[in-house]
Amino acid sequence: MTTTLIDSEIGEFTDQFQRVKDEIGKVIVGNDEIITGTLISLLSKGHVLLEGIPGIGKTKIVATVADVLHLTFSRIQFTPDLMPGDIVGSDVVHESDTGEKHLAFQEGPIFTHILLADEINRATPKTQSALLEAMQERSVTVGTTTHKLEPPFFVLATQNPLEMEGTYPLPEAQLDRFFYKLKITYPEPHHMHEIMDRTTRREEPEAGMVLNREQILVMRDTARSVPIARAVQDYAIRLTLATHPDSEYGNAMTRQYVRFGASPRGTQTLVIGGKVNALLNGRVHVSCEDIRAFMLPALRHRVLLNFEGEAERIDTDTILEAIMKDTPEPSE
Amino acid sequence: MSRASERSTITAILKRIDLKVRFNQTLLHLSVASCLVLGALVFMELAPRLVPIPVPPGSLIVSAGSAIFLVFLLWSQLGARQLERAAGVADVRAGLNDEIKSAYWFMRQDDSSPWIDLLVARAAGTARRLNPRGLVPVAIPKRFGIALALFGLLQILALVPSSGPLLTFAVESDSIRFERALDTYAEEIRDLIDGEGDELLDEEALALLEEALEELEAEDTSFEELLRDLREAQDVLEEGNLEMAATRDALDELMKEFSGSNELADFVNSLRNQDLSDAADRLRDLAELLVDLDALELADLAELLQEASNLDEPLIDELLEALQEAADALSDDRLPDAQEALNEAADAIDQITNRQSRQQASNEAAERAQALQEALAQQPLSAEGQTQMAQGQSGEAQQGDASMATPSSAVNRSEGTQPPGTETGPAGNATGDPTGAPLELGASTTLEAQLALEVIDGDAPESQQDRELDPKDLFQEASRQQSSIVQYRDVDVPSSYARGSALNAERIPWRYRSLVKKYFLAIRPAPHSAPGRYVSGQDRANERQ
Repeated sequence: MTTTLIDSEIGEFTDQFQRVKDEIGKVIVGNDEIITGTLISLLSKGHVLLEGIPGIGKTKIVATVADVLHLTFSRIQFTPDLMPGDIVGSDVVHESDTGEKHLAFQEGPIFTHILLADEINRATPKTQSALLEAMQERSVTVGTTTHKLEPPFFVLATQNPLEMEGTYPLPEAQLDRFFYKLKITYPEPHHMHEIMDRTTRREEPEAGMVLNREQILVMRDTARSVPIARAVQDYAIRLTLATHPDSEYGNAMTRQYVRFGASPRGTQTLVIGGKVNALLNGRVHVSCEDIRAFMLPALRHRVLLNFEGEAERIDTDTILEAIMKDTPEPSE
Repeated sequence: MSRASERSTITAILKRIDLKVRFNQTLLHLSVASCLVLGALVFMELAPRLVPIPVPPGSLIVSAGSAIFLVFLLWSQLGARQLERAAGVADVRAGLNDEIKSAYWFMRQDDSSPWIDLLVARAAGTARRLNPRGLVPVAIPKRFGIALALFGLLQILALVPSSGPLLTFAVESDSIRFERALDTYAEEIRDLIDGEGDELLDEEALALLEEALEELEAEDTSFEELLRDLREAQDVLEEGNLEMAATRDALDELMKEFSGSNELADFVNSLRNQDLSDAADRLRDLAELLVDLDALELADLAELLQEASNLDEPLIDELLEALQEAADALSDDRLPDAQEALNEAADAIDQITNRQSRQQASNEAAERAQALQEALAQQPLSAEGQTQMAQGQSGEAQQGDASMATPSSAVNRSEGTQPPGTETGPAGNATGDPTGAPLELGASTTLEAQLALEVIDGDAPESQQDRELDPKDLFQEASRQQSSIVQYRDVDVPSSYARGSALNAERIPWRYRSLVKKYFLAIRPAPHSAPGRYVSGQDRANERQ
């Protein structure tokens, strides 16, 4: 592959990404960071946890993303009585044409490209854990049989931070499997106007499909090809280590409020997300700016507060912003 | 463009940027070094004006600072190039989002892939657009302003004359100075004793000096004892000065006697020049030349020698006797005897020369002892010293010893601390001013003044023996003998006698001493009398009867 081809590949990557964003933008107003983060997660082989109050378009965003991508889409509304088998599927009795009966695996809704796990924290931990293997290994084991999930497998989960009664907070192990945790905030007034204009008319806007499965897989490979210098990678590592209270890179806030810091998976997130971001900015190298660009969604759910932090309602974003400020770039 | 040229392009740009960065760093370090050195110089200029502390010379600071800076400069500039740092600088200054840094890192790793090649190619293109001079301009550190201000302050301080430290630690400083002075003087005296002292100095003076030095080294010695021993040693050392002065006067008389003689012209010149060794040699030459003289010349010479031998100068009596013998021998035409007598006269002059040498050595030792006394007298009185001083004074008063020789400066200081009405100075002197006012001395007299002995009726010594026995009275004795025109170089010696004799004078005039004693004996309480009962002298006389 020559540099020219790479140049064209990068150009194609950027164009396709922009086309998807534009298409989503036809339906979703604002939330540019959410859309970009979601797409970066998709291209980084990650999953996204969307958190926001009800009615601000979480599900709509996910549905729109699924619409613009020529991929299969399933939606599971998580409820307390939802069982793992309801997600992954189960062996059911099948009767053949000859009347012979046998057990056959009936795939659950997880066998899809894009899975919307709506209000994931309303299901029991047992059911939530049914997603663990699928999210990490891209496979589902039922009985003794492991069923591979067809790539791209992309989980978009939503959760409501307000109605905590009768919910089951996601365990740390599962939280760590989400590439980004994106917080959807209330739209700005001018965006509200746009939303009203679009959704209160007779015809609602629809997004068309602009990207198929093969293109997404190519884009995934392209993103991972971007080289990263050791110094920048070191910066990402230092940022991650700075979230640990017992690390030499940690700041005062980390030591005071953090119980556990981000795992190496957090560093992977920073680097891979940085690569995609570098491509989106037309660069063939990852910069420290790329690392920082999505540090908050990459690490906010990986930093666990201690009792003091919880009691004082410290936001992990505040801690991460302090870390970004205190960690010097490997420049001069 | 080839891959190699792209990499060399990046490297070249980075080298240029590194050079600029290093230059700026050198300026920065130079500014820091300048501030430190100038700050140290200002401190060294200011500190002695504020507090009395010793400071090293400024040249030492400048030299040390320059040497350290040069070493640091060589170390920092000759070290390995830091192109990675230069890449970081280029990225930050040009806002390249780590492009050059990433490319340079992959270049160093010698990795090769289409992506890395593309990265390096792009970085090379970016590097070509970079202007190192604009990217890293020469930055004059603000510290140079501080250094300039310090330099100006230094110049101003150099123009302002120093009037000593504002804050003084007088006790400590004086103590150190005092100890140093004592050590110096003691060392000089020790050197003198260890040198030719055994041959030149009097045994008694030697013993006194050694005793004083031992006391100086001992910590439990009384201040007064030390001063007294030094004073006594000085007195012994200076005893021969008047005798030597009288000897010189006698030789002057002899010179006058011989002034008209052609044969003795060389001898007279030597005496005039006070070169006694040469004078002795001239006499020996004359003895050898006697055989060449005719009878008339011999007769004249005999007459001159005869007249000279008639001088009444007991201090050169050996010389005069030899001259007498020579005159007699010449008169009797006994030339060999005359020659022998002249040689004896030359030997007598040599003996005088030796005595002079010994006295000069003694004077030298006396000067040092005097300096040591003055240094001791200038000692800042510590509490312990004051106690010792008080003990010494009370002891002296009890013993009634008038030989305590305290330099005038010490006496004046102690007088200032006495309560009013307490007389510590000698009777009849102005040193006993109880108010502590400055001592008012009389008008100075010229050295050529003919000192006359002012004898007050009733103050004269009771007997000739007492006068002769008192060595401190030699000065007055010299006045009486009309030999008190003192040479300038000897003026300190008799003046020190004068000081000592004035200070050591008894408070009670000697003529009233017996009267006072009788008075106190008369009023002393009777051994068995009742307490509080006054017993008069008349009562006690009646009781004795």
